[in-house]
Amino acid sequence: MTRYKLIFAGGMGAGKTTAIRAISDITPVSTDVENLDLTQHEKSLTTVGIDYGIVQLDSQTEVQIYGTPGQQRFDFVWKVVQQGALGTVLFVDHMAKEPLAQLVYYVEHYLQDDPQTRLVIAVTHLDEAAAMHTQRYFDLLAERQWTIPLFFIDARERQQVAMVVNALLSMIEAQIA
Amino acid sequence: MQGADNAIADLDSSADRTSVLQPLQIALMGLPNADESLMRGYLRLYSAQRPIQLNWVPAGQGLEDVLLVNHLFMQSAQIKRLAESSEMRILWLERDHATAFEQIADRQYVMSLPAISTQLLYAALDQVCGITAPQRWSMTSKDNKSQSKPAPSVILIDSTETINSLETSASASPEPKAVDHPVPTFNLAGRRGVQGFEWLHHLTALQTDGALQQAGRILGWLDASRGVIWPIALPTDLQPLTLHPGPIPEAVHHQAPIPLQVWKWRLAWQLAQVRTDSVLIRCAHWRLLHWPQPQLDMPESAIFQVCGHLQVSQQATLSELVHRTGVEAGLVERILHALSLAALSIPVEAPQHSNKPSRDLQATDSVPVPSTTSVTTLPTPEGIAGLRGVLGRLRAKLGL
Repeated sequence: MTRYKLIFAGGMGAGKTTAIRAISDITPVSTDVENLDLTQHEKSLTTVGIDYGIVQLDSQTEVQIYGTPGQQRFDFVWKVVQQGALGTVLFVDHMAKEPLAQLVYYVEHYLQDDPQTRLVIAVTHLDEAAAMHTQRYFDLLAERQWTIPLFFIDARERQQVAMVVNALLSMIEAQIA
Repeated sequence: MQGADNAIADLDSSADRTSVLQPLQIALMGLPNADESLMRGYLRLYSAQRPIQLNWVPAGQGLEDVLLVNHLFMQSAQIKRLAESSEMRILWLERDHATAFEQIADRQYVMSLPAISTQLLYAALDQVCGITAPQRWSMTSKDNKSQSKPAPSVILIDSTETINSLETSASASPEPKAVDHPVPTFNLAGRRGVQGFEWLHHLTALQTDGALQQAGRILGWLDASRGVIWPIALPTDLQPLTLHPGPIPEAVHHQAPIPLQVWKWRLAWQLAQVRTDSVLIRCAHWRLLHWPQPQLDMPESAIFQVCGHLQVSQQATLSELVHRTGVEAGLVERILHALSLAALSIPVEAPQHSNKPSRDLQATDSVPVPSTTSVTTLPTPEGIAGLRGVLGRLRAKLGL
């Protein structure tokens, strides 16, 4: 069996588990428990281990999708999961208290571990309110000189999650061309 | 709610505004989906203009300040009881009612849907919600907020004006043409084809809030301060906006805001189809600044392939991109042109072979340079071939 790995990372409540559910061939293995850290996010359940889904390409090949726990105290798990991954989709909750700070934190974390990591950003929960100017994401990327693909998506929509994965695949292809 | 309008004149920032917002509880009852969607859009638009915080509450529990209800329930005993037992106001809604708006009893009003203008809509909702219209338009972009003089009360753009006059009239805060209502109105009527694309493209760059209107129908709200468009209804003529099957119908349905970047990219994509500067596109080296936001009817994979190669190579020409991606030359040309129109890429000097950067290259140092990806350690040729196959099959599996 040949296995490839994609990572869905990001803060609590950003939609990682939902996005895995949107494209996985299996019912995702989830480690959601009651959220006791309401200061970070008000959702009732949160992931404390690793969420896991599979896109089965054939009987001998599968792409595994790992969702990392959102809380920063679990950052030791991120490094373990990241090893050997094709790339990472970083989910950012637009409605989080400080989405830009979250974005910077996670991007720096992943670039620090591997400056050549393939990263795509998916901003979610835009439908709930446009509390923050969306242009600020692009201003931040320009300011930091990060040409990272950034998309506004609904993590519940398979097509939109697939689009983000497609961008990641294009980056991989460009690197191996 | 009375007197809240006095506070709005002193507001200089959205944060200040938020701190004095008056809560207004709204309930909806018995409305068809389309009317409910329309009213939610209208109220969102309206709330951006008044010092109120909309809260949606369930109907019939005595929580609402205003109840929006289908006129078919006018004889309902339950609603009559509700009206008598509380101070709530009732707005009866009816499609194509004989009059646009009227008061029919104490705290009871009838409004015809759809609203025929923002002017009438705001006047009606002011009366229903018990709000006096502010004397000054406060929800402008940051640039406008910093001006001490009152913002223009209205900017009416009709179909005979040119894009240049639109830019002048809206961005420089000139003398208003008329002082009828406190919202800039951008009228899409009569703009078709290339002219329509260009007009809308420029509109997004104005940094000015306003209502998008077509033939008396309110289509949406350009919220420049938040960088989004709140769609309310679809235009009757889709061609000027080329909305179908893009994101806007879905956004109207879900009441979701559309980031301006999404809209700009859509317009740029359409413009690139009908106008192209072939010499520039073919000869220049291109550097990617940001990735676009592809939409359903666009060749997503081709766009991503071009962007991926632009990012990895840091800069490339059209012919290089055609060679590396395998995408057809005409399509790569259109993608490059659209990226350029949407300010997502810029032409740069050809790479120098000298170790020292040229003066011209130094001049572009302020332009963001891709730093997150470079050619990484490659696997074996067999591994690369295998990986390519996996990527292709994964795309197919995801329906891409």
